[in-house]
Amino acid sequence: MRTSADTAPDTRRHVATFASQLVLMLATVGVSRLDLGLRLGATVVMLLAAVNATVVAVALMGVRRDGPLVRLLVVLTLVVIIGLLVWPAWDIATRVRVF
Amino acid sequence: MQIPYTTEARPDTGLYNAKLGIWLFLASEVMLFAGLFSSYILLRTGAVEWPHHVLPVGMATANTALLITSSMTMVMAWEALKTNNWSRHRACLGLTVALGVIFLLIKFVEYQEHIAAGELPSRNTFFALYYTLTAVHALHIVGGLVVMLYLLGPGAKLWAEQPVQFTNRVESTGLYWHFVDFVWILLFPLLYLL
Amino acid sequence: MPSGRQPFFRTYVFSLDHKVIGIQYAITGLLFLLFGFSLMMIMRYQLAYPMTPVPFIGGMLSQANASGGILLPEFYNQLGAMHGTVMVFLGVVPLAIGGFGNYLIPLQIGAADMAFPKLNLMSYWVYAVGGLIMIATFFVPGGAAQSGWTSYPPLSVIASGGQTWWLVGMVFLITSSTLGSINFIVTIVQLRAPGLTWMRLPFFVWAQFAAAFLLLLAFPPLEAAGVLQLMDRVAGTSFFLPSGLVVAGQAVTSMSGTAEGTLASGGGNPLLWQHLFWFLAHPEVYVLILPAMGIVGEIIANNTRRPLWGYRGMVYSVGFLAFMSMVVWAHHMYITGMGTTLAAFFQTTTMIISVPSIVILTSLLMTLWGASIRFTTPMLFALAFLPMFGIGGLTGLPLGLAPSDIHLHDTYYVIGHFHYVVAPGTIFALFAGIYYWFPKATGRRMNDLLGRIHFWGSLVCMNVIFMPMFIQGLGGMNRRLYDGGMQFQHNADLLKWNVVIGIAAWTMGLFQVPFIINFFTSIRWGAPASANPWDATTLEWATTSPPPHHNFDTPPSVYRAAYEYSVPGAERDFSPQFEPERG
Repeated sequence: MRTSADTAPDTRRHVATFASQLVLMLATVGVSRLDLGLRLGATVVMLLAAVNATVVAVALMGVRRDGPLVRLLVVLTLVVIIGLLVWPAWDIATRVRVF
Repeated sequence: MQIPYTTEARPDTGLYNAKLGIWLFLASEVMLFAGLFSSYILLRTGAVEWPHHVLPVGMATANTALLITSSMTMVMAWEALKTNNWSRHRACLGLTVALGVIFLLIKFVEYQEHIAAGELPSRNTFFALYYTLTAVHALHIVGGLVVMLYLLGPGAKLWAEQPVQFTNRVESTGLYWHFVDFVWILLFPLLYLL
Repeated sequence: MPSGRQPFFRTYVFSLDHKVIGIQYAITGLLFLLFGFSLMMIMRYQLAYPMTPVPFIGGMLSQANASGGILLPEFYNQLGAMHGTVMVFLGVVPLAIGGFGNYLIPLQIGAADMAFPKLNLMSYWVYAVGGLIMIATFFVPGGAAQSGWTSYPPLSVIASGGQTWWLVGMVFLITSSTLGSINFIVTIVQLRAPGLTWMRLPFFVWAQFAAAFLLLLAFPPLEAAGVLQLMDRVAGTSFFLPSGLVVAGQAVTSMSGTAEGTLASGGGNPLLWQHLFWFLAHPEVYVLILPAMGIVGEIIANNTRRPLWGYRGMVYSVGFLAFMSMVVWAHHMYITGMGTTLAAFFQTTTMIISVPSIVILTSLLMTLWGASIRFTTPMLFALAFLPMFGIGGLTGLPLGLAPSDIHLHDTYYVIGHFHYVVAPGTIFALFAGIYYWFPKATGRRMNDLLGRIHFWGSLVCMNVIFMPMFIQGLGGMNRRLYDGGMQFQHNADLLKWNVVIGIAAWTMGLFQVPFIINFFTSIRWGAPASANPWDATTLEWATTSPPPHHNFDTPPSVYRAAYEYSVPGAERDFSPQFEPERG
């Protein structure tokens, strides 16, 4: 149990998290404005967004703090999601275009 | 015989029941959005052409900032309880609700603009995806706000009777809210920036 | 017995007790199974004697569905789509998971109830409402869903009104399922009794645990797809409607009421639905089989008086099976024109997934080897499960390989394959479970003679129904044909099987009557059963039959593994988990 003595460091942590999220958000918007082409541009933008999302998962949701079971669940879900995101798109991309 | 581990953690797992429950729920919710994201990727991969810069980036960026802030206030609302600071908890939770409501208002204005311009979901797959993805997300915001209003309203009585259980409820709600933020952080660039 | 003086509704209708909820799920599931089976018995008449009025029932159907008692094609399709939907989503899963899972999991792990009793209550009622919505679609204009249980667009998007309600019903069912799976997983992880380590868990619990994970993670993409199809049908979007779609000589207009007359925007892809649908529907079939394997495992250990052979291997297999089931789904899509690399990937994973099933089946067979078998009624069903599931599994192999699947896809071979796994497979296991756990739930035994009549009649009929389908499928007879394949020359020699299958189906219907009578009369007049009538080892047998409201008068502890039968040097041929060492 944390006591009131710990609130000061916590506020600093929260502000740091908040600030890093804002910076990442602005960077994401900024990069999207640059003319990097669709492939590279999309990759960098989504990568920055993914980092931002990871900050949420780790710093705010406490994925690491909540123990090995939760970590296992997160990893398992991520693996399953990658399949769902990749294969259907790959299917469409590798078919012969009729129109 | 009572149901154990409703408030205290089970030693070998380190979790109380609702905490595991909410993580599992979030896993399924993440799969729901993954299904929608997968639809976006598949349809865009197969599309001959795709609209660019038709959505208001400014409004969406403001919305992103609002949600990021609300995640911070939500964490503070939970931590205030752990340090027995009831008034601080109420203020932070209330602020979180307010930020969520503003998010929805901006979204409403955004939708209005598009509808006025004749850009309905039936217009093309881009708008179909835009409306569906943001609407499903917005519904999740509404759900979160309903729970928070309950915790601010009738649910607040539990703090006096069972403070640990109430704190855990706030923690679980916080986890859900961060997840909603998580989804938006990925949704925002996908729809508005690419 | 109700504890204290609770009103009738709180005790029997809106109970928080997992046992009551489990029984509610089971009875509702059984009723839906009977309903779904009845739909097929009607269809089988049309297939056996095409264009002739259906006896009795034909006269009761409206002219919109059956002109002069002869089924109309649209109605036949409704029966077909709803047969699949009802059997899978309203019948088998609610019985296997909602019924058996809910009733037994807390008992087998030594808990007082599920982790979230209120959530459990909600799960049941959301399912019940969803089920009613589904059935009610028979009465909406245009009739029930008629695009197959698979609801492929574009057909499902332009189909009549019932499809919209099918989608709404699915949202209810998926919600119920998600809430239930969260409950199961938290219960199994958090509420195990002291001494009940993971490797001492009954195999039944492991199977339910894996199935719950599949439901949790695989259903949401179908919910997403359902929302998208609803949008296509109601909001005029074109998630699944490709550009330039023409139906019956007319370009497809937007389905939205507000944009009537305007062409659908197109740009959608029917394959998107197929991917999202099968992403759920493939793990779904493992949800259908896992509880069955769990039940059969329990009954075989008990009636051979031996531990399950290779328990550890079976546990790992269940986990591996569950994981692999999430990466094989596109084997339902081989003939859609998939690229060869992707097809090769899915063929590989599909072949690999047969391995854990074989490990489980072999372990069960090895448990039998050299054992002195008690041929109780549950054991008869459990034994029959093994070769029936074997046939079902083996016939899946040519379907899992693309070259052979090209010939067999959408033929009766597929129907034969999956029915062998689900009907004399899963449903037999569920019957086994009912006969086995009925004494625990009611304090009375079911009648043995009626049970054996039910068994032998059903076993023979099942095989006469589904074996000829392999012949029909190999001969090229397509499925979902209203006239039973009459219109195609190559089916000419295969049509006679439709008569055989039909007669076997109606006979099987008759053989369910002893079961129904047995089930209800035994509740009142069955021979009284003790706490442990089968001399079994798992925790549910530690308490009375039926258990009290809170399950165990004193919280149990677990002292050994789940299947300590015939331990050398022990007093009796079984050492229950819940009894400490003697002496």
